Amino acid sequence: MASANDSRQSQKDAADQNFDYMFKLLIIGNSSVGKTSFLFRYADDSFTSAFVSTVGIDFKVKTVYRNDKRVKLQIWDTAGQERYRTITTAYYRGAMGFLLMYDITNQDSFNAVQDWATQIKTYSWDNAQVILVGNKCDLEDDRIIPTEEGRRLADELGFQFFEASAKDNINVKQVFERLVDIICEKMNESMDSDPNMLGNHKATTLQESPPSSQGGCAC
Amino acid sequence: MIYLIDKVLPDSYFANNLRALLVDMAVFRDLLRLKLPELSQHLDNLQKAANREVGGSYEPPLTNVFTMQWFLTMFATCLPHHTVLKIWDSVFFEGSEVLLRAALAIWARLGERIESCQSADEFYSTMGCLTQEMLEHNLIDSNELMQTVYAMAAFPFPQLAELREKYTYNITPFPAPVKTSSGKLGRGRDSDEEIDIDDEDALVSAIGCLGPLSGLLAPELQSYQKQLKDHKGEQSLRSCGNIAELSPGAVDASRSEYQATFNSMMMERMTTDISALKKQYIRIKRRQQQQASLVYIKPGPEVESDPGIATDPRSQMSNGTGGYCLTFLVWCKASFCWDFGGGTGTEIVLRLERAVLSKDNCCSQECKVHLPGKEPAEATTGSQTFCLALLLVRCILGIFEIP
Repeated sequence: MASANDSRQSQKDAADQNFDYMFKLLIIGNSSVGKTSFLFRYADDSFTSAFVSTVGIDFKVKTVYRNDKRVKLQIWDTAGQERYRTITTAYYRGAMGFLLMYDITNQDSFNAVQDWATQIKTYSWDNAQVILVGNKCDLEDDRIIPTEEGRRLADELGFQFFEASAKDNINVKQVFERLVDIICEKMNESMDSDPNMLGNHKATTLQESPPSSQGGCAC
Repeated sequence: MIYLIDKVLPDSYFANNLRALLVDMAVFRDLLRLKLPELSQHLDNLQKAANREVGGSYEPPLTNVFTMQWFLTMFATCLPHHTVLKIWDSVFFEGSEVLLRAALAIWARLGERIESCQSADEFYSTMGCLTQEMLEHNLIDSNELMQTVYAMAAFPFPQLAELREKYTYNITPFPAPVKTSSGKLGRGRDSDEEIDIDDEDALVSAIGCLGPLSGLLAPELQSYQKQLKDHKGEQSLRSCGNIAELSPGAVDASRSEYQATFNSMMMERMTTDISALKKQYIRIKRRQQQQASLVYIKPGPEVESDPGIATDPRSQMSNGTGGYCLTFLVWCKASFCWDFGGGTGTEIVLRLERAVLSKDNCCSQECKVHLPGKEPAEATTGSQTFCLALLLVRCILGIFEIP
């Protein structure tokens, strides 16, 4: 559910049905790693350190421009708590990209990355793209997970890797932009290699797209 | 709060992978179909359209995101406070079905704008705006809402008990499995009813206790009254001690998690000043005994009571823990010191107390009257700290303000 802090801008975004592409993204990771904060920073450019546990699942809509194309992002923010798992995994399926987040000051959240990756493999669309994000990189003093370790795990899992901070607005935008980019790349790739896939992708991702969509995402 | 989680809301609303919540969400979609067929049809169509899109896309029932949040927070995060308080009042009076009714009333109000949506994405976008309007701009008139809630059907809601039972026991796909054209048919089921293997244990225990317990008030109260006759205060207190010594594994799965936390907290408290507590406990217990006969209110609206529950060992356990809660409250009052998770709890309580006191006129009248009577039958299952804290405050007010 769109939260109370939506800015007017994002309200306008939300109602705007005029776009070239539409991507569904999902943010997952342990409880309290900063998923909601990350999304708020990106969508509303706001941050609050108060911890409010997400109830089930929430979403925000943001429209970005990539190469003169309007890309509408429907970003789903999931509750990290185990008890919501049955509910949240239902939304994995429609997602084209994932932000798998851990907290660099929290060993458990990092240990859980492997499990989350398995969840993605189990429930999501095969071509879903994943970025591993080590959040709270502003808390350098409390760091427990070295950057290298995060990068190594990301390589192992075949994910992209970023360290970011929702609080200090480090790499937030970059993470989303990168995710959009690799989704586009993947789409182009699979369309090139398998013409049959074209129809599929058109249907899921190129909604209301003009004829130019013939060549796939131009991003 | 304890009362709310334990007696008003269906069992396992907050525990057991939210099993009862999932049931209620499924039930709600049925009710929507009954009461608002056009809207329901429209939403189904949008969902199906989203599913038809190839490429592995799968759309869960569209209302889920919203009803889940509404039900879990009892609208606290979705509507203006005065409206929320009205709904809560009604929940205390009429039972958890008010949540379903209120949700129906809200969808009815939003229906027109939703029916103009042409796709699931557009629906979500629109709802993003609408939810904000609901929260901030009084899109929903609270009086109108409550009128709709009461006017839509007789209490208890016809067929509700049956529907809840149906989904509790029959967690097979519904509505008919959505066929997706991708290769992943196996996952095309409605996720709500989907059961992971890991969930199966939880399910078994949910099935074991959910049906008969939902909305069950009268038998619990009877067994409580019986307990009052049978036991003196001291004995109950001793049985509390026994409960505390049980390992969490001995407790019903749905309760164990919270129970363990609660017990450790209580043990810590109790060992500090057990005799003073005991004295106060007996005094309060006696007062409650007097009240118990006075404060019997009408049974919950969805009493589908299974008389067997009274003899169920679990009901004894919940009575035992009820004593616990009482002790706990007494302790709160006596020491005015409450660490619920490292000091933040104290702040929560104070803030809530203030909130409750200031909103008293429109909110907690009936809680004050009703809660003490049923207090001893309360156990603690849920683990929503916020809810727990709020109800505890209400309990405290209730217990100590009645002459």
